[in-house]
Amino acid sequence: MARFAGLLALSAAWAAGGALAQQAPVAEASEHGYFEDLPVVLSVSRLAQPLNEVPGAVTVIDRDLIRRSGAREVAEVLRLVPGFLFTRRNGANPVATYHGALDIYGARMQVYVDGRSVYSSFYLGDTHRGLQGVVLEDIERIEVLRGSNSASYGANAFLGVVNIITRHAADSHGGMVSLTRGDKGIDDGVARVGWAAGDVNLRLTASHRRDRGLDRVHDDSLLAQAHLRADWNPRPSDEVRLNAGSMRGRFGEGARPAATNPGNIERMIEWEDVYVNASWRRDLGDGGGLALHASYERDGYADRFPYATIPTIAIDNGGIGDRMEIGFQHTLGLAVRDRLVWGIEWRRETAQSQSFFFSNATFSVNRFRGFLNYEWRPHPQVVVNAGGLYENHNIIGDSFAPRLTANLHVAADHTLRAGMTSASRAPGLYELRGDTRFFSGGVLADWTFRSSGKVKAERVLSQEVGYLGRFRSLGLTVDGRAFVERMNDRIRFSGRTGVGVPNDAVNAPGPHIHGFEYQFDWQPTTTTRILLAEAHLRAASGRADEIIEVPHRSTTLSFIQQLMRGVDLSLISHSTTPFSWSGTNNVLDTPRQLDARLAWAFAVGATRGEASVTVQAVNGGHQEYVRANRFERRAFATLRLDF
Amino acid sequence: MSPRLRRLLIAAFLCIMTYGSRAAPVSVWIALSDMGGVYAEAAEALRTEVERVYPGRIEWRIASAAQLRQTRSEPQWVVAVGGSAQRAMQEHFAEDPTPPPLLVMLVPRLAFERLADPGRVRAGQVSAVYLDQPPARQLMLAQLAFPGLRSLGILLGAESRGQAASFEKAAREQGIRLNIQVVAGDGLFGALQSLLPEVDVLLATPDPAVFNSQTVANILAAAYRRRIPMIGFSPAYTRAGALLSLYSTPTQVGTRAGEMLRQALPGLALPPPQWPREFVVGVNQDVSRSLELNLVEAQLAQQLRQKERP
Repeated sequence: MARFAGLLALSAAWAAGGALAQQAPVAEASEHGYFEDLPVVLSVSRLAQPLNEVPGAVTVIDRDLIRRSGAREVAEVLRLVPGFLFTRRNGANPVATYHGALDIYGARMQVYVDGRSVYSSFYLGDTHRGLQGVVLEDIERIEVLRGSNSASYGANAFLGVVNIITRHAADSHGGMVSLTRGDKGIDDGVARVGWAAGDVNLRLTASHRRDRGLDRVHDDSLLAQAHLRADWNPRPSDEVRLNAGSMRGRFGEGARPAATNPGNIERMIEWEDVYVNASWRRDLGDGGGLALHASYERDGYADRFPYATIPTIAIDNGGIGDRMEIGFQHTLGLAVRDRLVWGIEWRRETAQSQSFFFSNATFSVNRFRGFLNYEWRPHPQVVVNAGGLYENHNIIGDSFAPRLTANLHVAADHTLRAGMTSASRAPGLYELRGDTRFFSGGVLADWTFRSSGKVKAERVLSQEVGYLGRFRSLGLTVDGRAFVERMNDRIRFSGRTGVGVPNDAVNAPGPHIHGFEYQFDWQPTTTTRILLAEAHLRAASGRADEIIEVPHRSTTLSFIQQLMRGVDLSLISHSTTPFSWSGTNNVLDTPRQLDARLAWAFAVGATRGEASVTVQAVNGGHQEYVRANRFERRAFATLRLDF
Repeated sequence: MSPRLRRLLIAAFLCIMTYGSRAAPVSVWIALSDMGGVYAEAAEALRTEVERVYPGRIEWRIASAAQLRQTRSEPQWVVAVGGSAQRAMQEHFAEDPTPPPLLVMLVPRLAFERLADPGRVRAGQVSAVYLDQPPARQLMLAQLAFPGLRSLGILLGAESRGQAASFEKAAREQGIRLNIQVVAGDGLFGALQSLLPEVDVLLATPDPAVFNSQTVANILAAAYRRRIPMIGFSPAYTRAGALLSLYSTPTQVGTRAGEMLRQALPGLALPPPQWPREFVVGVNQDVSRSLELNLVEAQLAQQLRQKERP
């Protein structure tokens, strides 16, 4: 998936662990070691592309920062990225979105876990469940590409891309257990073992996460998962990786019947997911490389309950979805470090749900993509990226997303960037083929949705200028970006005027979002780190409800301090100006959350441990998603042992 | 004493010394561990350096150690190039009550000390120009390349663990925090896993039990996955993917050894074993770019020289 031939997933995903554990030949010191040839390990195609040459803004959150953030959810970690919002529709549905609260499923960004897209087109487009399908302790780092990126990642990389890279299996040998207990029924556990079998490195992780969610909301949740990662180097130039896993969740949903809630009763939704993901990369030398990847994932929901006020209506929101993808990428190293990356990819997603499609048939979306990017260095101080991605979607047809970006190194450690690209979000299968009818004793009681199938993809034309600067003597890195995102054809539901009259998915003019965002990462001393991530946004739209979906400002300020050897303090404050999540018509009143974490690291023999206490919402809680929901202060303690 | 005067005196001394034998040339053996390659390069540099001062006054016999052992005559000086030449020459003269002085070059300090008789070294009868770099120079380079360096990681093996003390001494003098892990048996993986999270830079040491052609790929890969650069001790390291390498070429070592031999030729004791004075700093520009560093080989080498010899 690494379109920038380097940055993404590459440096972590490329295997090379293999023979670490194997016995070195017994040898005495001699001059031979000084004159022997060594295999080229880090060739250009394997090196991470420097951030100042990436055609876009990138925030990297590493393992250390994830741990010290005290987060229990990946989505929660994304608060550290400028422009990201985090909420929970209820406690069982954490979600992160970029540039506004335009949807509650994270449908306008693309998410990869070790190169596997976890974006689901089943319903309206969704990444929130996919973001839950990775164990925080397994993550090496998260690379967030802030900005539209369909030119590299296809439709759905609409406003941004989140790349989650798990640790190389060779880097997590040994055992690890972590237990968390706290308020609100918080009960998390992780057990992991990593080992080498011959020259294959393996890691097996199992975890469960349980809590009672928000107060006064039926949202207890339990999520259990197991993941396997295997890394193998058949030859120095080749790396093979296999990931497989399974997840199972029980999520509280619904509310007590009331006048405003006639049917959505309290119940538990069951979710299951299995996946397998394989990739192979070959280094061709001179900056060239080949990569192949394939993945398959299947998930299903079970959610049956009687409509409260008319119990003869049986509601079944269940369904099964499949996603498979196969892709090929070829990087050619050219003269003066120019580089050409091209590739093709095929992706198929299917959905089967009687209640969503009023049919037992399996609906599918097939996409074929071809992409090309030329990285051109007309001058040592200039990198130009020009390219695009053509996509054929079996229902909505062809689209093309071009991109042109120039990075100018104005001085050592200071880079200016300007770019322009277009991107799209393809409608989800429900938006394309949905049909929801409710029957009572065989008689049609209501018809809430019927897609005419005419809906088109959402489009955005994005322009940006950026700056990336390092002030090494101060220990400071600054990343700033100003942008205009002209969205159009936003998909909305429209047409329902009363019972029996269904909605349709239609395209409407979208908002134009403009603004600027920046992040400061300052390490004034070796024991202190201060991070500021802030976005200032404005939405221009003909609709009042759309304008308030974009908060004028969102800020995350983190202060991470080593108090003494082994003792660590983190304080993270996240706040936004008033805004409303799409469809809620509920302006939240300046949500503000302060989290604090105190950790003590220790070692007993070869076992390393860390005991920590985290208090979320130290400042007393805030409105969450809607005004009626509150995220109350909660504390939990974690004990982690690595052996 | 001015250099010119000293040179004159030495020349006079040589004249007097060789007067009775009709100015018979001084015979020097250069025993190579292997013919050609780096050994021949170092030998040639030594010869050039000595000939520069004493043109035509030396009778050179440059051959493999095995060939020289077939020779009946005895030289006045022996230069051994490489570890196996040192071993062969020591064995060759083991029975000799008055063995000729031996100058060894192109060997790591560990290898030299393993073979050399400490008594003869103290007496100036045996000396060496090592192939490895002094710990202080290695740490200085790390500090020059990474001004904000917090901790430098070093992996040592069973044989090289004795070097820990000299690294720690140099680190104290330069105010660098070291993290030294000793690899025992097959514990390379574990040592690396506990070392890498603690350090900013990894320094490769020429202990073949730790760093060899089979392990380097994995060590480099593991370090780079954490964005930790490595400093190697040969140009092959920078080619393979180490960010920096610090080494002396066979010519630089040979020239230094030539200077030492030249000083001892008038019949003086050999100077004590020493590190090579000249060195090269290599930078892998691709890795440097990837880590967003601006390192220039010539500039680093220049700064390092200035720090060493202000």
